[in-house]
Amino acid sequence: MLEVLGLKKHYGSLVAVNGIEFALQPGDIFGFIGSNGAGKTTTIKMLATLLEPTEGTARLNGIDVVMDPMEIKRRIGYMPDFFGLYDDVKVWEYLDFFATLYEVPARERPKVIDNVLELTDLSIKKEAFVATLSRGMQQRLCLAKCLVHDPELLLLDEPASGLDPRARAELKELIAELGRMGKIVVVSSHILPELADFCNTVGIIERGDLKAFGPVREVVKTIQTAKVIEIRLLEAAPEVSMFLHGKPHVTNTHMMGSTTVKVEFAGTEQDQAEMLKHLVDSGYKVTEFREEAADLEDVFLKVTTGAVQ
Amino acid sequence: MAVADWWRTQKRVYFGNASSVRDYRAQLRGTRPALFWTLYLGLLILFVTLAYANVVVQGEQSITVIQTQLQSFYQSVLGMLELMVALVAPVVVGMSIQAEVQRKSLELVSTAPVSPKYFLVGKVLSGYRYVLMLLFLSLPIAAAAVMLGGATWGEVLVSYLLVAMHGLFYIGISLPIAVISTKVVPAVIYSYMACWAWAFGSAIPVASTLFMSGMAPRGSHVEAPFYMLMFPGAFYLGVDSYTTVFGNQIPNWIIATAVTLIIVKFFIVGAGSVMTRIGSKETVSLRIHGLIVTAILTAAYSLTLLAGRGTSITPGSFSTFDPAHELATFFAVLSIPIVFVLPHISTWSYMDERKHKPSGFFDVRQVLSGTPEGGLPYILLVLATMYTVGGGIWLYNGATIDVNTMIYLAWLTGAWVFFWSMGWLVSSFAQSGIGTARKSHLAFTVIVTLLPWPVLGIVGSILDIPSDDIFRVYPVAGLFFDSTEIWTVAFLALEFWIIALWLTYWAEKRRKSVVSLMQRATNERKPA
Repeated sequence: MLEVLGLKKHYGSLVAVNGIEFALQPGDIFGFIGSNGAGKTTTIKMLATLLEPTEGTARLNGIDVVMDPMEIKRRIGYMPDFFGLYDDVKVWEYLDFFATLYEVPARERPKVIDNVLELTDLSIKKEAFVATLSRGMQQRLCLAKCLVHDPELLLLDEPASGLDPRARAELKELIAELGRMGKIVVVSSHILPELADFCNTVGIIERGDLKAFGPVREVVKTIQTAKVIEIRLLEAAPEVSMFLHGKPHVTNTHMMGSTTVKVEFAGTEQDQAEMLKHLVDSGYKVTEFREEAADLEDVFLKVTTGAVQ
Repeated sequence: MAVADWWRTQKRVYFGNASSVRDYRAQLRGTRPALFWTLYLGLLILFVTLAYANVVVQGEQSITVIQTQLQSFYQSVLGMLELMVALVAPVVVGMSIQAEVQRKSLELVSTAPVSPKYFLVGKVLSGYRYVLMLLFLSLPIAAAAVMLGGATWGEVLVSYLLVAMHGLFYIGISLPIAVISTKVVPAVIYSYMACWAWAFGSAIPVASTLFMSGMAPRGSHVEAPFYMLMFPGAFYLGVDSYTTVFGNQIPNWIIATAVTLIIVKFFIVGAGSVMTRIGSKETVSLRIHGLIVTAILTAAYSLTLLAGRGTSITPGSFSTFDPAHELATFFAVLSIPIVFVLPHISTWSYMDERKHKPSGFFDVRQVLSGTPEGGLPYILLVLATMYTVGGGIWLYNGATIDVNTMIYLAWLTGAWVFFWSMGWLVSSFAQSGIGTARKSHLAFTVIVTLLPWPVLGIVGSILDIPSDDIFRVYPVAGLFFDSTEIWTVAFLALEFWIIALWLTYWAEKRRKSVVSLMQRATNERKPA
């Protein structure tokens, strides 16, 4: 279990991370969302023991990041947004280097290297020089390096940046697989729809403050104070907006062309059914009646103001 | 159990170091290394041919002349090797570390469960491999010198060991510079500057030591200060020299090698301390090594100076020198290296990590932790170590320590407290980070130390005041005056202490206001 407890990072009077708190369970894939300069990388670096928190701490299965950084290092895998690979060595040599650093016994190293190469689909490139790998493969190699010591927590800072759609899809699948293996995965990203696909928990950070945290569905639900229902009619009916405006639970309406209206609705599903019945009874020929699902992007835009530090 | 753990750690750091193995794999790959070594061998052969042609003149000559010529041939070969090592060692280490910083691979290594020492030792080992290759490839040429009669195998082996030690020393100097630097070019340039300053600067004490000790020519089995073997410019003169310790003649190359290893370790923990957090093992180790190195250098320098005057020192044997003045000069010269560490231990910043944030200006409990409030106590501890070891040796050899000596020491201590207080004050103005504070402190130190000399000189000549009189008010000039003018020295000491206290008071007022401003700013940002 990862517990983040009032983590703060100040640079003089600049507050980069402002006492954030959350907890993650094994198997959780946590999407960390925020604009540039919001505090994502600073938080991840503090968890990776690269930065010292000004206040607060984090615990991984009871081990304190501040008090026992060496033990934490044994249990985490960190992949920075801009990762430096040694391009003058072979793929297996690169992994062997990190396996040695992580004290993987010399006898087990070849097997471990083969396993992580297989997991990241790089077995074929075992003898290739790192410099000859594509960007996507290098990304997977860096992820493979994070796995040589079988960590409990993976910290992936913008892992999908600069990847083509195929490489992105492969990486997504790989991360989902790591979650299934029971690891806690923290992923920061700007590409919000992508996070929604495989993260089961999200956190939104702005100017160092954690604005929202929880399972994706709950966060969306919490933020979404009113549903938006899109109603499409068979024939043009510009007056439908006025017709719906005063009805119970309708907070606002917008005409989208002459046949479509968007209704902001604060009622229950029962109230929703009543409104549909009322429309049909009033002679409107409804061809489509659907609730617009709010996505992470909507939530993000609603929660944040766009302010940076 | 503890010993087994310690041994396992040492084995891991020094043998099979992953960082060194990785560099080794990359170092010997491709055509570049082959080209480099071919070029090196070519240059070496060309140089040796020219040197040989230059020293061996055609025609009939006496055996003695030929012997001398072959010896100078051998010396020029050693000089060439020393030059190659001085050229290659700093650049290999500087580039290797900076390459890790630039491509951000250091960040990945830093998240692995290894200490900075592990990483740095790996870099030392991979850099040192280059030095050893340089020496190994030149062995046939040294063998030629032996065959021709310019040197013996014993001399060659000890000389090679010493050049290898110099290479290690250059690597050691380059380590902290490479870690502190932010780019490759400054890292290499500053490393060269430091190494070459050492190589050339060390010629001065060596020359004075040789002059004082009246040393015999090269190859003589004589007593000489061990540290001359650590100096690149003159080591070959003392290859067969020794130091008498409790009646036993210990070869100087053994002592020089041991001292070099201690100093290199000091550099490694220094670089490691830069890379770690508040109160790290590396910082504590650095501070302890700093005291050990201070004690060793003080003892070495004391014994050398005293050896130049015979085995026993009496006040009379100082001849025209004033004993108090001379002892103060001795301590002043010895304490000069403090100038290089002062910017690091006298400055602070609230913009950076916790290890740079002070909670006061003087806290004895933090003397080894590396926090700013432990800086002044540490400087005083270094000076105390120097005074105790140096004073003890001088007293043991018959020198006297009187009131005049104490006044000189008060002046010298005041000088370093003053330079520390300047660092404390400039930090309160340079609030854009610790780097700015350090650079500002270095700049002010240079200005305060050097600028008044020409200015006061010009003022003196315009107003027609004798130079002794005009420098009477300038506290840095304390060593200008001997004990016949001890009250001038006392005045200058007082001047230093008063200015230092005033600067500290001012700096503390500013620091406290910075703290309250920061607190106000951060309190306004309560967690959401």
